[in-house]
Amino acid sequence: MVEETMCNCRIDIMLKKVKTGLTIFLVLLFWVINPLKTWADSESDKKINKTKSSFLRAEDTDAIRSFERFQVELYGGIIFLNPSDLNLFVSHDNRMQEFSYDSYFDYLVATDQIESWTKNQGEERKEIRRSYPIGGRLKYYLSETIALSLGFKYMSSAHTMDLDFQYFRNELSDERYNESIGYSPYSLTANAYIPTLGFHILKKMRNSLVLEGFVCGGPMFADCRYLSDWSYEWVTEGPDYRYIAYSSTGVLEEEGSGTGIALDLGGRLSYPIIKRFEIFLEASYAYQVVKSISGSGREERNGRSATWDGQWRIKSETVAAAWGELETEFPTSYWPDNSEEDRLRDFELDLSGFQLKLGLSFRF
Amino acid sequence: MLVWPVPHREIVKKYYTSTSLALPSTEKRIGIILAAPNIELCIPIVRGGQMKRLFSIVLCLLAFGLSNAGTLRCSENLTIQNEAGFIDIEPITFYFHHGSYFSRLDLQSSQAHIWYSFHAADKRSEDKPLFIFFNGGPGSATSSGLMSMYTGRYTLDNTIDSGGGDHYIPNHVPWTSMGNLLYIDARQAGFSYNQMMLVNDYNARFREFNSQNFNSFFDAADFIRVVLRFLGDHPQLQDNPVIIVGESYGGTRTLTMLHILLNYAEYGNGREMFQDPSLSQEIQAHYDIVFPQYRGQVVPSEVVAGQFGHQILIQPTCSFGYHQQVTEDMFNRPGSVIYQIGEEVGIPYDPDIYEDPYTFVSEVAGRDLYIYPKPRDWLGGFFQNAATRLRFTQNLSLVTGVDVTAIPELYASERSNAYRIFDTDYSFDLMPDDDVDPVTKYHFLVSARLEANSVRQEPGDMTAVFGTLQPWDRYFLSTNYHSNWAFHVLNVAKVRGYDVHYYENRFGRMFLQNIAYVETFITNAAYDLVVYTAALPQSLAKHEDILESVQHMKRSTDGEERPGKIILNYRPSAFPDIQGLDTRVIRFPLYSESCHAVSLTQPEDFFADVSSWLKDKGIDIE
Repeated sequence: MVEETMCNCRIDIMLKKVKTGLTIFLVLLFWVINPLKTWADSESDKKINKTKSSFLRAEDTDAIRSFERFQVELYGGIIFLNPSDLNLFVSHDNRMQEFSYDSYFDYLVATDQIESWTKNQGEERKEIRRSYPIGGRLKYYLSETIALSLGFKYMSSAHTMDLDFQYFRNELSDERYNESIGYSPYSLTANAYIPTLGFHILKKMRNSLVLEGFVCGGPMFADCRYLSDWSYEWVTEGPDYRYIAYSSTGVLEEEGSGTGIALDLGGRLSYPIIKRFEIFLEASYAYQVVKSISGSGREERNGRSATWDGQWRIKSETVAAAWGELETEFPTSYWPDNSEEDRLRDFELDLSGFQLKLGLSFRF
Repeated sequence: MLVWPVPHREIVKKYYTSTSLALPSTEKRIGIILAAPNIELCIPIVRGGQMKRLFSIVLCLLAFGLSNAGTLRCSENLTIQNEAGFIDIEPITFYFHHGSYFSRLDLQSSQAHIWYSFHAADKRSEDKPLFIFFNGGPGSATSSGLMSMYTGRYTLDNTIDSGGGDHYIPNHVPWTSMGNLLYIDARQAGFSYNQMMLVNDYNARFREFNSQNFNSFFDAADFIRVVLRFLGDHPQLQDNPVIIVGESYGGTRTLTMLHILLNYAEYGNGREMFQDPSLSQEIQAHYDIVFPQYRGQVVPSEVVAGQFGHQILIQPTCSFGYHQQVTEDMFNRPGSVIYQIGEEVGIPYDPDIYEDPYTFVSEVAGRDLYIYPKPRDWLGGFFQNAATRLRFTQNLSLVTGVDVTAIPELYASERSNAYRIFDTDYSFDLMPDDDVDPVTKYHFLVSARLEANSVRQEPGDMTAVFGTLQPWDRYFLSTNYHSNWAFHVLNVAKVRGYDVHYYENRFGRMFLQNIAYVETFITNAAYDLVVYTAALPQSLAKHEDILESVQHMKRSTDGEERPGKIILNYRPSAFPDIQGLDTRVIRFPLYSESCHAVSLTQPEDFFADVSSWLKDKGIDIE
């Protein structure tokens, strides 16, 4: 019930942010489009006057004046990114596991506490390195060479994995310990919703190709999530026995959302396929950063559970055990008593990267 | 005679006083308290007529006669009386970590009923210190150990060589003359028992014998909880000095208890490897009462030592990893005690031939490791005798000074969810291969000795008095090898790399840190090879990062009859938070004819040394 209420609250907040963003966007559009249109019309008139004076006929002038001013575009693509703070979850978990198992077992072998050890593992934890944006634009041509656009982009990056790690320890006796850690699922997700306002400059090339440069920007509404649903089991095995000596399960989940800025700068090539329809290929660099993420967390361990809310920050830790030390850092929204201790910096969701898009447009 | 109505259940639950006789039941009855100079008699007025009432009175009078024998020395004490029973410990959530949430091992213990026996001081109980006694193991009972070995008012006699050692006699050197005594059986040892759901499920029971119930830190936490709850129930004693007396593994328990008590905040704020926040809070609540000037604040260690500032360690495991290294080196030197034993039995000892010195002494020379001049199992036989005797309610009532039939938790009807062991018999249903020798099959879990102990038909009259227990329950276990095994082997915290085993050097460091605040007395028993205390000074010296030097003073400097001191010289940077820590002295008297259980073999000498030492330290034991 409490979670449902919290979820509803988050949706309300998100809707409010979208509404505010759109209002600002429309005001900006109105504020920008009017002078631009006036300027583009005057340029167009100059061109007509210039051609009138030489060789252009009256019907040509009408054709220029009556070209299709609107264009609808739909696209999908790929963006190569590295949300390094978010990916800290993965690198941290990998390093912790290596420290807690691999390094520990190496130490036990080196100090003659166990005979040997081996490891089996399936899939590895994966960082988020790409995302697949989809979206659309409504363009308004101020002239054949200048256009403005209203757009919306959605991008989602998710890795949801089932992981299984098994460690086999051969003890000094003829026993073997089998420790297995499973994750079902282990998941890392980032989503972004980006309404944009764009400015486009076009140039017609030979063979009906149109070269276009653009800059688009707007607010970015983003959320991200980390989920680790794990289980641990320790089995002791001998020549003729096998016992589950200990087992435990747990869930750790962190969810967060925030608002930032998105800006696309790039170019594209369009090619007409049939009348009014074009396909296009876009290449751009997208700056997409949210500087502040906050949300809720949940932990369940061996039947007990806890929830919390807070701002995501990067925590630094020193893990110290008999076999060494590990300096590590990871994001979390769990900051009991608002402790400053171990707080490295604020978490930043950086979905920036180089992107390629392929799309279809219709002009009317 | 005072007569007033008392709900029977309240009497039983509050204190199982020395002479209260009440039948355990959920019914509320009206009892009559007979108040005499030092006793209370609760006569249940049973529904059903005069005959029953008369019978009850006769029973009570009989009980009065019986238990009065054990409380004669209490005659000057009106308020504090002998008690015995159980202190409940609810399921506790705690964890280990290496400094990170992600390296955390969360655990939750089972419900425990911890057995205690309190013997009020002979006089001025409320002014006297409280001695906390426990044996080691881990998993060994205090009831058949220190409680039966020349510390309380009654003791199993030590003349086992001349045919004695099998009955309780009055102790001529009772420690009740020095103070109040509280004996505690560790979780699942002695009379203590756990409870759980699914108690009839073998695998569920099997999994209970693991870190969540058995590790050196949580074990110490159990004892702290029992002590604090006992003190909380006895306001007259609440701020009295507490002197911890631990034997053998009890040394590790003592040092861990003291480290937690002295640094309790660190065990709840994430700084220490073991984290038990509710324990930290419980300690704070106790200190709020005892040290009101620090109410709500972290009480400094030097202040805490005002109450928990003395330890008496009998053949203890203090820094046992180093201790064993040094011991082995000493044993393997030509001319060592092991070579001497070889000469005595006519089988020369050769470290290259025999697997280890202990195997040689025990298996080849046939000597008792706990007292090497004696034949093998000499001391074990003594413990076994005590265990056998304590399974008779009459003996248990005599030794505890309490009518134990008034303790509800002992009745089978009250312990349907109780368990003591996971394996009830030699059933190998879970084993796929029937051709393999059963002992081999189980060697990883249990030894033959363990099985013999766990499944033995219990002698005594407890089944007749309290009822028949479930197959996995026991009234009394002198040593619970299932829990012992959980400390050593089946321990997920140990498997996951936490320093929970008492061989870890962490415990030696904790011990040396405690010494900064805690006055310490350690026995040096000449015949004990298991905890070979001759190796103790050198083993402490192995902590080179803490100590500059360690001296073992064997000669008397203060005219002691049994001289011996260990002088610890600390490095200036040993513990940066502790100011002025340079030299500390541990009293370390030699008991030249003693076994591991010093109070058994040299009771008078041990008593005299302890009382003299406590007087020197300003403790009121007169």
